[in-house]
Amino acid sequence: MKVLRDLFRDYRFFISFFVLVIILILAVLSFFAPYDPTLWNVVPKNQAPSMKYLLGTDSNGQDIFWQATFAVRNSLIIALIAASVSRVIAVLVGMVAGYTGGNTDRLLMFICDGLLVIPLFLILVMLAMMVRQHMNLVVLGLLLSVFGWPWDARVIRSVILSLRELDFTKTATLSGTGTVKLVLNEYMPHTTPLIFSTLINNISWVIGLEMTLALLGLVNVNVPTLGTMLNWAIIYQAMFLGRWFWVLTPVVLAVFMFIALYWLSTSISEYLDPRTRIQRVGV
Amino acid sequence: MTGERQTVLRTEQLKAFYVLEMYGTQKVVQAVNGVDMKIYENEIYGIAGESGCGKTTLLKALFNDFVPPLRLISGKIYYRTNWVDEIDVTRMSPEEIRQLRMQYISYIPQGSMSVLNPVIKLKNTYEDFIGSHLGGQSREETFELARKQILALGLPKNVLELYPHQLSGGMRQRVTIALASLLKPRIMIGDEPTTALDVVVQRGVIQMLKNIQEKLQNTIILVTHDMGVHANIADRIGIMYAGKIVEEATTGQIFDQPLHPYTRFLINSLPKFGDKHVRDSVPGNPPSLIDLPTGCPFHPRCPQVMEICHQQIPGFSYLDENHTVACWLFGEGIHGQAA
Amino acid sequence: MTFLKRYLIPRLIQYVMILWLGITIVFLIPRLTPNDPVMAMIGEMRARGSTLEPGAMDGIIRDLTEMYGLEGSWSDQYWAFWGRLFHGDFGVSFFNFPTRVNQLIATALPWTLGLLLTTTAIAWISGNILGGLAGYFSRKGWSRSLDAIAMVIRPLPYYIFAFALLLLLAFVVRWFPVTGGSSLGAIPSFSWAYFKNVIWHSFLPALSLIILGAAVNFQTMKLIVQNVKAENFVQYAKLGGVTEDRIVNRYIIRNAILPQITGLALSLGLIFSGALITEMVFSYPGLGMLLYNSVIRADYNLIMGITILSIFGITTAILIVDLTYPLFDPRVRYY
Repeated sequence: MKVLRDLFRDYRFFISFFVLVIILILAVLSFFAPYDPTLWNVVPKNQAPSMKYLLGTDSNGQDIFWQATFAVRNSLIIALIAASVSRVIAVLVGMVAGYTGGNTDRLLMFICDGLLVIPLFLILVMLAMMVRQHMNLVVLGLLLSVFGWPWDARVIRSVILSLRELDFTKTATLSGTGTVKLVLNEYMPHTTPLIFSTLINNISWVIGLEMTLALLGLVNVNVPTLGTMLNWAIIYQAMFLGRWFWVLTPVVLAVFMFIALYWLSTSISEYLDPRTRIQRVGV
Repeated sequence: MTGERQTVLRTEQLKAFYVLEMYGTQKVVQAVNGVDMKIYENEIYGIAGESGCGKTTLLKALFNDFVPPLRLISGKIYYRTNWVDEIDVTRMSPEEIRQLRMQYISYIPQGSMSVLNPVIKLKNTYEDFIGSHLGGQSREETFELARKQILALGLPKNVLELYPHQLSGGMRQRVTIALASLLKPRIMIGDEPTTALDVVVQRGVIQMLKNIQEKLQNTIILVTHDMGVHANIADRIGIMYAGKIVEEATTGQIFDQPLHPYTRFLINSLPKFGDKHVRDSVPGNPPSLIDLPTGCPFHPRCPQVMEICHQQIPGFSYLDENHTVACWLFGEGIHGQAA
Repeated sequence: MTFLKRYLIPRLIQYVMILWLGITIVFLIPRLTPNDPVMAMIGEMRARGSTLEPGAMDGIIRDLTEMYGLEGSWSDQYWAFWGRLFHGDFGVSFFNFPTRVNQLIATALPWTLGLLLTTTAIAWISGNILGGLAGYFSRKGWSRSLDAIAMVIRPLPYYIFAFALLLLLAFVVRWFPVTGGSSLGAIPSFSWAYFKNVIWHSFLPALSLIILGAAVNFQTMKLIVQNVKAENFVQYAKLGGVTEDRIVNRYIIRNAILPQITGLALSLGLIFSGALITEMVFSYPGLGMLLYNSVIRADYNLIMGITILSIFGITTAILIVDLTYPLFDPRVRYY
């Protein structure tokens, strides 16, 4: 895998790759957790970290370490759902708008621009308030996916626009290739790397948004996610009471995830863009 | 004071490579690979060659524009800035080099490139170029200078008040030529100045270049793959292949008596009135400048290749004082010495 | 004249239509969600611990329906909605009854505007200057170090960064107060003492917004400048021996600023949301805190008022920024 070897030379890819592997391990560990994360008082409250309770326990009577594994897992699930659904929407909108052009394009771009300009955070707050009862991981994921696509749809559209002008498109259409086949076979390879890097960015953004919503109390606080963990810690005044491990665990995990995901996506997209690849030359 | 013409530009075994380091491996592009050139005053010298032969890099080198990853590996470049001695510019400080530009040597870019700053008016671009060299002039004086020159060259007088995007491609090209000749440099180097222009505009550009050269009596170096342009205005032509000059002669000699097999292909591929037979193009592909063949770089495509061509690079042989060729067919040659 | 036709008018039309789209979305949300908003509101009020007398239920439902504007058919509601908007009537706050929503917003708005305008300006200017220099001197050590720092800061969401800053500078080292705005009990006045007080309390939220904003601007400007450096007209100017200061000023920066202006316009929505979130972390008495309180108290009218005002404010701000673009790019001004 020459590609992987080349990527590993970039210290950002190297570090972020391993950080993400560790985080994935944590998520998988949740399947082996000895406690049910949604119950309270499973263990004595407010214990300091020890050999028995690796990161101590919280004021709900949960082991922080195992709670964290669930938090990571659930945050990732939400993010993956939201990011993949929004990729699909972004690709569909971008490709249709880019290839069809005309009034369809104008309409789609108008909706796109509108969604970009409107402060979505507030709309999200309103929406979350309305559907709070039905809120679970999937619903939250779908909700967040509605807002992740406009920017990337625009980017994909501009790629399609430039591809459309190239000669190979004319050759393909003149030799009778249908639109769908053309788009899937010919254009996809050009957009796949783009889709991949925006996927990673989107995952990071969704996790951040989920945490922000959780801290407003707008999600189901009984489901452990990075956001809800932090929310509980703040409600129980963990900062003021000096229970650092409770507060710091979700914050540190989240920070590592954000930075790692960003470094991953930046290093991959720099690798793929031939201009930036050449710029990293020695003197 | 003899009748000998002075050289205005001379290179000695000039080698300039691109050194690229990507992901742990190093690739070296040998774009200018041992070039010896002598350019005289009051002449038009053409450099001909296909894409990828190193022409553009040679131009950058002649300007002393060695920006990483382009490196000057070895060799010397001489200007004759004070009309008496040759000065090695590779040893000059960046500030000295900067001052020489526009005043000793100037650049005429390719027409299709957007070389004018899109956000300032042309008169301000002029002011930038002039003001960077002629200090002590007020802005009004520089605008006046620019206006006079524009009118003298027959360009419409309101051109300076416009922005670049408001001009046609041909007009932009004329403006850049005007700018290049503004401070009366001894050398003007044109990089494909007629490519990407339609034939009518091409004619105008070529005429403009001829007029300027006659008036200033300076030197123009013209780089283009269009042999028709060379036939039209060049006095001497150098044929470039794979980073080296392989043949150099007067225009008449190149067209009537091409010696190097590559030159022969170039000339024979030009259409002629009344001549209907099929034109052959050069077989094969130009060599990769990273991975050059051993010996003579043309040998993989040469119909008259010999054993020695695989092994050693030919030097220059002189057929007469103007015509030199680097090819084993014509003798061993003096390695690395232009006429 | 053509400029007006080709640039200004389409832009204005777009402005009006996006406003319409945004406000219509706000109109539709409570009506499209699966729950009856009135019952949902009653559920919220109950969950927050308010007790409702049994007989009062009908009256409350009627009042809520009226306050929500849910009487009549959808088109009736829509007209009534816009009617009230044009009168600037956002209704009455539920939990600060009978204070009008407008009044609550008017108290909080100056705090948010002050924070937002100063931090955006400082972040944009400083980020662009540093990024521009870093892009020009991209091989120098300090350029690379700054880039590495930005690489760490940029991906953090507003909340996390603000929170981390709070932990660090208000808890660990206790240099700054935990809450923003001004000290409790301080009386607003135009005195220097009050001003200093405000600055000290607002320092952390401002710092949070400035650092995040500057990090983003730094990285984007650095990339832009690196690309502009390679442009043909910069190379041409160098071959023409134009002096370095002219090249940096008129050739590089003047061209690099253009996409940054557009970028600013596009990110105003995010910056605004980020400011609100940061206010929440620091309990800064601006729209952010107002929003937070309205969410935890399910004060629907207040939320809607803030949302609509924000849509209007941001869309207008983007329009203004967009309209300054032709001042910098003559290609748009003249055809």
